[in-house]
Amino acid sequence: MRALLPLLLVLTLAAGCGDPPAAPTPPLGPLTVTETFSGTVAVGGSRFYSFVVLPAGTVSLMFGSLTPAGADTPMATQMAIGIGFPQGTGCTVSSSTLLSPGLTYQSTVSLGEGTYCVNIADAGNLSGPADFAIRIVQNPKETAPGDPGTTLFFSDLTVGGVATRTFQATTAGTVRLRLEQLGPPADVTATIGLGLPQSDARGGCNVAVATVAAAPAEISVPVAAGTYCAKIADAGSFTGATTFTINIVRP
Amino acid sequence: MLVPALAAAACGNRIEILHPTGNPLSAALTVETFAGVLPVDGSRFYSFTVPQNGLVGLTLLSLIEDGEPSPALVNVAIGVPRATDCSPVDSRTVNPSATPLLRGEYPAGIYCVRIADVDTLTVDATFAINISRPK
Repeated sequence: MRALLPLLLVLTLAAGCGDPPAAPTPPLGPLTVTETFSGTVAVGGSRFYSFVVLPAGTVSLMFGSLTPAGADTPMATQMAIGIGFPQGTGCTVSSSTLLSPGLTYQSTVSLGEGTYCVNIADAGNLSGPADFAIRIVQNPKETAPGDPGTTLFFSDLTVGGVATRTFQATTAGTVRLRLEQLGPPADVTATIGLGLPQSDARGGCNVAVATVAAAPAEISVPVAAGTYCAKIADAGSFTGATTFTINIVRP
Repeated sequence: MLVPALAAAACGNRIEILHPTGNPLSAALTVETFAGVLPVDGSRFYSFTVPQNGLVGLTLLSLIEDGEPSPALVNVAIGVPRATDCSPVDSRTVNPSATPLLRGEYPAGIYCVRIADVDTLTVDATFAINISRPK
């Protein structure tokens, strides 16, 4: 960019010598940048994730998921989460907030241009290593592309199988996940949950809320505008392949 | 205020490019040491702040395997902290040396040093890197 500065100046100055003024263009809103920080935190441990703010703007955090490592059972455990600066082998945070997982923004701060980090630490509440997911959003918007409505999520599910489906909430509101059909047999149960899509290519879902149920069943979760995932998995009761139908009612 | 002044100069067929005053290379330096254990096939990184434009230098002081100086090559890089790692900007694959393996002028900001095994370590190694940066 520095190398281009003289050229930009020359072009700017040339434009100032008699050219008609260009038609004004509507101002662009601040760019929304979404990153997902996921990993495993040990008992008494911490993890951090570095990101760049450019230009200055607001940064919102959604502590979207905490489960025992390798499991899908959401935990309501509070973790210490804060924004700071990468320093040495860690992230120096001036203050942390105790947060429980949820799918709305739990923290918003205004930050100048620079490099920052999000730190998550066990606040003394973990009894074993835990998988977590935090959504970091710069300049979050109140709406997301698309229309509210219902997404049909259905397929076969094998013994021990898992199925996930991402969807968009176009505005803040409540997502309802309705397990309309599961089976045969009629009494088979599955784990259904809602959470944040995994950032890797495996297509997983870091659940924030989940329950084990037979059809019909429903879970409702308040969310901010953005992308989420629904998940259904064999809860250990499958004796053979079966089918399911879920309606995802999106705001 | 700068652009109107330059614009007036430009319309008079004379363009002046202003250079910032002060020599960033003359800033006083300080040294941080990044020491730790580098696992086989692994990497480690360390973040530091450059408070003003100036020279940053890295020196791989030591690499020890099994209590002895190691002949292994390792990759040492200066970069920027990104996500859960350090994204290299400039790197070298080197042995320890008393002379800086990397020197460059960097603007103010937060940077990181990353050391990584390049399939040469046979056991976990201890290392020490000096980071010379503007004070």
